[in-house]
Amino acid sequence: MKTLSDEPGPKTGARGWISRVAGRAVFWARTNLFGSWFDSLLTMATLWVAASIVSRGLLPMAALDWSVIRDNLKLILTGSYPEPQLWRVWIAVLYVSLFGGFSFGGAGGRMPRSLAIVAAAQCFLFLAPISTSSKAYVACGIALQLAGFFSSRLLDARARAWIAGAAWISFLPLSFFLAYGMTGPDGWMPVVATNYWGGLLLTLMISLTSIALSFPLGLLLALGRRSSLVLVRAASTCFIEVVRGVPLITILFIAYLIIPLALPASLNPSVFIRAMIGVIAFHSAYMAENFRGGLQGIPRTQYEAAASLNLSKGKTMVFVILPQVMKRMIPVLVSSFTGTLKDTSLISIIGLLDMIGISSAIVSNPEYMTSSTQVLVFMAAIYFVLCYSISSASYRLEARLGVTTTKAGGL
Amino acid sequence: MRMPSSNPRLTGLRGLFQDTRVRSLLWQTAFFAMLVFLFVDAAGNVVEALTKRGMLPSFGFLRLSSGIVVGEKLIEFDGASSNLRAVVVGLLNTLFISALVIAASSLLGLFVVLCRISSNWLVSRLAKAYIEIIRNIPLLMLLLIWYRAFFLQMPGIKSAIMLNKTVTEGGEVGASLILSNRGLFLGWPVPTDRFAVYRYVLAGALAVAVATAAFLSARYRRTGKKSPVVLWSALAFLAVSGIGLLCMSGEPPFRIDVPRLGKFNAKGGLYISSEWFSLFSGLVLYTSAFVAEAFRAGIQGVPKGQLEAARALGIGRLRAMRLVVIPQAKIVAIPPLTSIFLGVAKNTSLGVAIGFPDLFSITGTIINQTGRALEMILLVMAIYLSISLCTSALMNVYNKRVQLVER
Repeated sequence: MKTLSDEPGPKTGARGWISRVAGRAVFWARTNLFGSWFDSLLTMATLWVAASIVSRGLLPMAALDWSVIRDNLKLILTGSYPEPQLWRVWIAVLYVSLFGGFSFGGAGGRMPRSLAIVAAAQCFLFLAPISTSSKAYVACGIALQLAGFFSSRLLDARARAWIAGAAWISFLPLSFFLAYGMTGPDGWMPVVATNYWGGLLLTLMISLTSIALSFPLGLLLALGRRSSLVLVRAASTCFIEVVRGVPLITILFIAYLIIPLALPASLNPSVFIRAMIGVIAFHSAYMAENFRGGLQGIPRTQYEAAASLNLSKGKTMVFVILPQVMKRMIPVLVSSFTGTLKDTSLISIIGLLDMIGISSAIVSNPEYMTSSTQVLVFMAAIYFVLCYSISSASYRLEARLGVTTTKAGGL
Repeated sequence: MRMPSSNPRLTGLRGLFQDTRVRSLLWQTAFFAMLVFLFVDAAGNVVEALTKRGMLPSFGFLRLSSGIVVGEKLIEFDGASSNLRAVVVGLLNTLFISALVIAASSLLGLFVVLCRISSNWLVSRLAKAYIEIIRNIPLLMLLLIWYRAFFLQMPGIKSAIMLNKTVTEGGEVGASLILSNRGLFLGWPVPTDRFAVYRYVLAGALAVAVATAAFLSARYRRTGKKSPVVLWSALAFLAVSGIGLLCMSGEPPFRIDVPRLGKFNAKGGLYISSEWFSLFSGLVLYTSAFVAEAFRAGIQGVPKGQLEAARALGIGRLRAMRLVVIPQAKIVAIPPLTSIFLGVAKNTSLGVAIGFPDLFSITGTIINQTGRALEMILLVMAIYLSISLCTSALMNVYNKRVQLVER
């Protein structure tokens, strides 16, 4: 994109400013939109297409009755999680805001754009038609986030890294503990069985757990595939290739139908656990291939240097190779999270009530029978916001860590 | 690596354990024993559970009649046909739709990437928005939006959208296109009894096309003069068959079967069900975004100097793209394209969510009818694995050819 940087600016004051900006805009439009007659034609045609998309698609959609979203928001986000226990889910959200702000403070505040986007999103959430108690939680989240942000600036980099690392590693067990509970039905934190979990909560729980567990499993599989032990190598390769060769839905069906048969009858895992096993098995095979790529990127000389220092094979792996692989894998880990998040939508096919399962449940209510467009578009928007922010974060992380794993950069 | 066998102090049993070969053997035995134990235990549990239900694993049920009603099929099938035939029907549906999706999404992806790398800001931004939106929404969501929010919201058959509406002599209402929530009906040519004659014309056209190709390649070998062989032979085929069609215009070998409105559904013509069209269009949209990104990675992998050098030699922008950039971009783009195309065959399994009878959803129906989960899942996994292996073998062959052309 060309800009007019060396344009002389003799005029001052407001009028001068306006004419400068207008001149720049005209110059920009001439170079980027109307460069040649073909370009101009293309621009006009595209404008026409865009206008018809807006007038035929987006405007009628905006004119629909969106009250179905407001009425079912709780169902979409948490499924049939009991209403009096929702504070536990909110605490997990507040935890994320606190340490999100904390980690953001550690980034040195060099990302004004992302900061602005996050702030705008939170203002929007606060203004959205949600209940007063939810608004209080959102306000609390904003406050905690600011507190985390400023407190992290008081600490030195080392302490910050330790605290943030510990907080994020303990997040998953903590959120499981919060969501599942510990006491009997009359206690202060009654157990909420997983068949009450639903909506976005279920999607996030399954995909976060799957990422957290498929990471080490994938590493083991990748090491197994490179192992010098023939049997280990054959078993790992076989697992990886079979899982990658079939659709996720068949793996989920195995988990759903065969696992209860293969386990002792006394051990009857819930559908939630079965789905989790399926998703983890699937993603660890893909993660193993990512790790294999990472391991192949390590030059042979690293192994030889370690061997010449008389490090054993295990020590070479742990102290020399893996730290380098991990650094390359962080962006991959983040970007594969979007894949996991999207793939998790398939658990609705084996009967779990994630967002898509909930959408069918809502539409089957006669009152909302004609609202499937609104429900589906809203859910697609949630997926888009989550996945898009994660993938742009992974690009940024890649740039900051100075590693490139994907070839597609910006134009 | 340490060589313990050369160390005189380590002899006897301890020395044996220090030997890397012995150690690796021990590890492998332990690992293998664990795997075998787990497998035997699981298999024992499965057999026990199945015995309790009175059905030991066997594939005999595949010969029994299925009693399934399948909406779309490429081969003859009814309720009396066997379960195995039902699987074949599903497999053919999966293969057919995958092939069409791969072709259509390659074309759409090519178009999107051309927009994406355009120097026009608006076009490029719109293409980017398209790619980002599609890539960040689950495929299942996309399919459901197409199916539930688009096709099921179409008007019913009574108030269907029609093109070129006509009234036939029987008092029926016909049209060359009927779109309703049942799906899409299109006017379609069907052979008449005069087709028997036209078959010879087609055979002749084929012979002319082959002769053209043979002549052109012979001339290439003789004189080194290059020409687009496939294009010329296709043109020859079209020309001969078109002239044949014109000569027979008095009694044409084809007639257009016009879809007509019935009481509950339309009939006649080419019928594309809502399910088929949702799955097809959803998959094409989804795949095209990934194809476009793969193409773009390939094009960006070609150094800018290549294009500039070509332009400096006075080669036009489009020609430089076609002769210099694309051949190099292909090499980079093929491995990711392979995995995308492999994904298409697997992704058709999501047809189960909208009721399209693909391989997987027919498998699900058979499991429901017979309770033979283990056998059916093994069968279907074997089929998907062989599809994957065949596709990747084909792509590897193509990849090798392209890589060789480079040198």
